Amino acid sequence: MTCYRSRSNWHSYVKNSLDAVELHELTAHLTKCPECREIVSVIQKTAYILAESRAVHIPPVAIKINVMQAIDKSRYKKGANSSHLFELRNWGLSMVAAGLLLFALNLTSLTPNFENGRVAELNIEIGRKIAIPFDKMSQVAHDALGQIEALTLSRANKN
Amino acid sequence: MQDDELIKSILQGNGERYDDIVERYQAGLYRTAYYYTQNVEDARDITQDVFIKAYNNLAGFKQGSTFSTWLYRIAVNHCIDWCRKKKPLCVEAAYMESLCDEEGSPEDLFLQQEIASEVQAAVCSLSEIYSTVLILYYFEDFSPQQIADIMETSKRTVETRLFRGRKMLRDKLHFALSGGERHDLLSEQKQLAQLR
Repeated sequence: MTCYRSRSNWHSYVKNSLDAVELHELTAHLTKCPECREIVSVIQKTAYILAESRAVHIPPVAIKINVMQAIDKSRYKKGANSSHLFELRNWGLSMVAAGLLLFALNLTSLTPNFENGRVAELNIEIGRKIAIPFDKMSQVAHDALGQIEALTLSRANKN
Repeated sequence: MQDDELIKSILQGNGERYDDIVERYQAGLYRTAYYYTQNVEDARDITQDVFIKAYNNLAGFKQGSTFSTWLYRIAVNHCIDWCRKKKPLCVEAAYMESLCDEEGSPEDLFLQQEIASEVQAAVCSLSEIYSTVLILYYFEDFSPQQIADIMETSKRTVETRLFRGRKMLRDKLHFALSGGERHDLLSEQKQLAQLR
């Protein structure tokens, strides 16, 4: 016959990791149940035998050295954190700016009749403004060339 | 200094204090990794990886919970992942390497190493859910509740797996020793009979 307690927390009982109430209940049960006493005995013997057969491995010294070399010891320093956050924030702002620019360009393509017309007008206006100084320079150069030509001709006539 | 004080100090910027954490837990983690891998190189690599991973995620550790449980959770998950990628052949465990000098005659030492080797191989050959609870309970001395926290399962499940795992281990050891050719079986079987 299998005791209804045979699957209880006997491993916890052996490790003495039960709360006071449960510990008291199981201890009281053990006094009157040979089946559960046998279960506890087997767990204890298993623990003893496996502890005896447990190979004691010495961890290589290299573990600590390698770990301490590999980790960033300043990772949790506040200064390091804040500069890291600052870089992240700048990077984020740049990305937002780039996104807005792309968004604006997309809007232009979505409203060609309206926006493209305005852009064309702006282009023409800018072109005009850019062309003004070039026209003036061209005029000045043209006048200078005319004067040089007149001087050359007058020298040729004297000779 | 307690674990939580050390962790607090590290999180305040004293990264060099992690040295103490490594010193405190390297033997247990290395031993655990060895039970899964059965070789010193992989056990060493896993132990290092676990410590580095734990350090990099230390900010995610909840103050007030148990650090050892959190650390072993990382270790066990890492070992299980390793096993799924590269399950070792557990026929011949490398029991002669990296063993500590112990008291006793050479014959006693050899016999103890033989038994340890058989036990390790048997534990290693079980499926992960059973080998993990056995390793944590019998070799790393965790309680079922702590194992439940590490494995993120219920204490009842751990108790059940411990019962089943022990029976599987007994069968494996009985089979291995009764079919072996190179053992003085009498003394070993006397011990192993007590597992039943």
